[in-house]
Amino acid sequence: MPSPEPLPLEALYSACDPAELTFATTAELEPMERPPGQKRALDALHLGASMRRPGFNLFVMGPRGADTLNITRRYLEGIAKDDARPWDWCYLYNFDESDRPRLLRLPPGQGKRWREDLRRLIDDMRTAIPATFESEEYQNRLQELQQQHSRRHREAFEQMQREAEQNSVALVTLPTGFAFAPMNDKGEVIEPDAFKELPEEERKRIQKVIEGLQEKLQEMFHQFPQWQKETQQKVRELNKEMTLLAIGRPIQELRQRYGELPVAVAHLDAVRDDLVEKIEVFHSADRANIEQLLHRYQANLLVHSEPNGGAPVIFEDMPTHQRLVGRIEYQVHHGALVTDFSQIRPGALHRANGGYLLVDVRKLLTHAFAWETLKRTLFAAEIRPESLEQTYGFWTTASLEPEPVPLTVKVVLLGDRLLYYLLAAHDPEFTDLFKVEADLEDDLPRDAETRQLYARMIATIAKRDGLRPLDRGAVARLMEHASRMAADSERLSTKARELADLMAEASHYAEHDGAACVGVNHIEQTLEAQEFRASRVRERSREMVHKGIQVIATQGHAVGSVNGLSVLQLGDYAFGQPTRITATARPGRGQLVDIEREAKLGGRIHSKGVMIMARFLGSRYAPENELSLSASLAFEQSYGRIDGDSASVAELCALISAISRVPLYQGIAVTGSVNQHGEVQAVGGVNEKVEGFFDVCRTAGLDGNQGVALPATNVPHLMLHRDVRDAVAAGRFQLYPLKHVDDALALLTGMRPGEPAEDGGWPEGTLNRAVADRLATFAKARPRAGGAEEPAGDDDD
Amino acid sequence: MTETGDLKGQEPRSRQPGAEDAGIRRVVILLDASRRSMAALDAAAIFARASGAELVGWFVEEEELMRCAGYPWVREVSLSGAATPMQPGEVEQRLRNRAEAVRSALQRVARTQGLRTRLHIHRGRVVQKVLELSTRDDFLILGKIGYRGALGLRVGSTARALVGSAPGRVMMYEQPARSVSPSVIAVVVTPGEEGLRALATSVALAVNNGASLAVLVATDNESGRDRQRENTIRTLLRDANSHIRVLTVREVTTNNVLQVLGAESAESLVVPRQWALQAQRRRVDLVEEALMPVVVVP
Repeated sequence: MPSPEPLPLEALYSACDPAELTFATTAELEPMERPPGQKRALDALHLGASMRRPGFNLFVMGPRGADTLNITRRYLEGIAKDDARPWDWCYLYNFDESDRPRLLRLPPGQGKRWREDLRRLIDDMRTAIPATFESEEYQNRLQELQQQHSRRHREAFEQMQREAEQNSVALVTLPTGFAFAPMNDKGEVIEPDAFKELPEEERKRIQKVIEGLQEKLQEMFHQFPQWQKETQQKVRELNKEMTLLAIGRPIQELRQRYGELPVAVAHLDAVRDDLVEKIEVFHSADRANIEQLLHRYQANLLVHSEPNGGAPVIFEDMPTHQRLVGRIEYQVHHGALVTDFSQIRPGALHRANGGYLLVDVRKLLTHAFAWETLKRTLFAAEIRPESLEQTYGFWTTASLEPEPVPLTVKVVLLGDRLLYYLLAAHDPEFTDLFKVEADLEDDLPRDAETRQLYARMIATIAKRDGLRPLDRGAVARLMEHASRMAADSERLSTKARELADLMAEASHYAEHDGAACVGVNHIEQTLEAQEFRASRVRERSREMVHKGIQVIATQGHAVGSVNGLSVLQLGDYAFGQPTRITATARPGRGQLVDIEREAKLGGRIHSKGVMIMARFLGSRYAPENELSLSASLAFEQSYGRIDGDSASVAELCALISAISRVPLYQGIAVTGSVNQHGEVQAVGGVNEKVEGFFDVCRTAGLDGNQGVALPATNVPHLMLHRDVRDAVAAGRFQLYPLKHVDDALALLTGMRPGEPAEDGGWPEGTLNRAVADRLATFAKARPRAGGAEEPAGDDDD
Repeated sequence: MTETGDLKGQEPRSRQPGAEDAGIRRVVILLDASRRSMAALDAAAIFARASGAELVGWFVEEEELMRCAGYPWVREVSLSGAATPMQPGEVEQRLRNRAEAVRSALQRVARTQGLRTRLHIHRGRVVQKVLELSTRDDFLILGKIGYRGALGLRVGSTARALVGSAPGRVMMYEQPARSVSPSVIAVVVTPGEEGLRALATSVALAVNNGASLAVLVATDNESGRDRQRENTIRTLLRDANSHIRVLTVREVTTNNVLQVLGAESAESLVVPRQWALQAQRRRVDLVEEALMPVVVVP
């Protein structure tokens, strides 16, 4: 098998020709209503928004940086502006049960008017009632009632006194009551000793009279409370009459105005009755008490719709329990926490009721009880503003139980796919409530039609964010970068937020330069600045290689050693890093030791790759008998966890080199995964890997033989940095496509791997023959080894 | 009723004959330890201090209570309707307690008002004792009503008895709606010496309290005597040195006095005794209807 041919320059980068764009700057382009290439997600959004059945809430998922929120919000706002305005809601004092505030639903926009009408009514009460009760008419009538009451007592008492006197009995007043006693002609109480001198018959008569008077007095006193009640009732009736005189008319007007709202009418009636009952508060002239009374008549307008708005589209950026369902505030009064209907505050669900509520699912899940609260509220289809303490019984302070608000809201969760799948798998209620998934595409095909749409999307972002327009060169460069972001030269990334950030920075530079438009130079400046800001770790890593602290050979040959490539992801920034992979081989019983795994630094996928390699070796070199090999693999100078199988081609090359003792060329780094048949498969991060090894080689000195071997299926993903492309164009660096591991072996050893003969043997002078010969040597040597083997192995023996 | 003039701003002249009669040398407060009599004590203390007079408290241990307790079948009927036997020892103890309460209250006002006070405790019948002990120069103060106020009555039997029989001036005290110290004093000036004495008393009170005066003068049919009275009234009023409003009416009735009290926002009323006694017999009892201290001048 011949070595693979280097890739042509055109394969390394797919440039976007500005001439293909039919505009000068993005200012000429019409903004887009909807993002391009998202038909699947937008259809799902449309379905979710239009379905009015319970449970058809939405989960919008997309890649990180896709600006899911803005896409969803804009789309829903487009729908919501034509939707019906939601009801206005307010809480009112419940005159029957003060801890259960009543709920009033008002037609859209009438909430404010109702609140103002009640305020005016209360203002009227503040002035009209005192004036009425200070009027001469009221004072005279009240005085008359009080005089009647006093007169009734006095007359009854005087009658009692007269009756006593007529019977020669004195009525004596004591601090705590009254007593009857025999009286002489002078009106004095007779001395008890003198009384004894009276004839017995007379004494008995007087005693009997006194006992009778005592009973009468008792009877009279028993009537006093009743007389008091009668007077109070008369005063109440007078108060009612005068109160109605003062505020009956304005209340009646409001009753007519809100006649179609039974709760409003009932409130007005309750206000009137309560005022009549508690009118004494006005008599006290204590402002605090009066305001406390009037406070109960007002409305706590929870939510109201604006005149020009449709249905609300609300994004809650901190979806805690209380911010979702509202809260009940407290005030300290004489050292105690007190609350009432006016202290109920709306939550995001109140504000979004009748419309759409957008919530970031990650935030929702990370706030205690918020997810459970949202689910419970959606299932119940009503909002109960209550604190967590109240819900879970942590707190026993008296609180309110407001009438729940009926809920008709479309909840839209925004998040990444992992969370969607985790919720779907582990929360059985999730799919009952969120039946519609809207999955935003990560990227779009880079064809002629999409390029135009993409340009309009860029123009839309520029206008929306108030940025300078971009000339077509800048747009073309942005598209190239979008392909790099998508890690595919044939696709464009949909990560609108990342694009918007890049454009904002470029616009800033353009503004600094005094340019009317953002040009390609500003985009390049931005990309360089972004890379520079993020590249501190990469530079330190390169320095370590350059100083020889981390050993990476870029020239010469070595047995059992090859340069593999890995990608380090630091936040949004990723860079490639070469790693020296080494292998050893000796006689044994088919064990392949993955040192990374033994050291608990290797992940499962990496282990899987090593096992596949072991099977490939066994099936190729010992298809009929036991593989007499004990080999090991290690990532040199790697001290962190590694995972993935993208180094398995490189590992296999190192292993075969170690077995065959055929040296490998160190100037070519290898990436790619391998299957059990030795076929090379695609891996991720090829651009970063190529650029990473290129940087190391450039620092060490490019000699024209260095390069990177990568899976042929990854070639369409190449969008390499200009420096790499320039070096390739100058013949100082090469990229080689790999389809089979033999391609890599031929490239690194300079030997033909060789095809097996009919008897299963390998031709002389081929690499595979060298491997087979060495394994045969191992097989002979193994019995003499006395069975001393490695403690553990990765194969499945 | 007609308004005859506003005398504010006129310079005071020398004291006229008869004015010294209005001077207050000793204020006697009649106490029974009821809530209302205690309120009267506070007002009396302020009044005595303003007048520069001595304050003397009288507490009468009512013999009749002890006699009542001597009858085993006599019951004390409380306002709740409960009837309980009276024990002589217990009644005696209660009298001592009340006397002690009175003594403490008097000491308190002496301390707070910086007054010289004395307390006399007597045993007997209240009205009889007051008439025995008081002189024409005493200014007697008592609550309009004592314990019988609990029945809803506004004027008690002691007050009613003393209005007609006390040798000197009597103030029947009732807590006014506004302040303890009156800012407007209304006075009824009837024909004759008694009316002028009432006026002189009201002037003295106004001077002591810095209060304004609302004077309701009854005219006499004989024009010659009218002019003479008018001169005397003017002379007395010049001593007041305060805002004075004089209203002249053909006859002073209970109703027009009540109207003046309301219109002038008066907080104290001074009336001649005979007029007061006549008023008591009318349908509307002024002493009862005027919700303020009423001073009766013999």
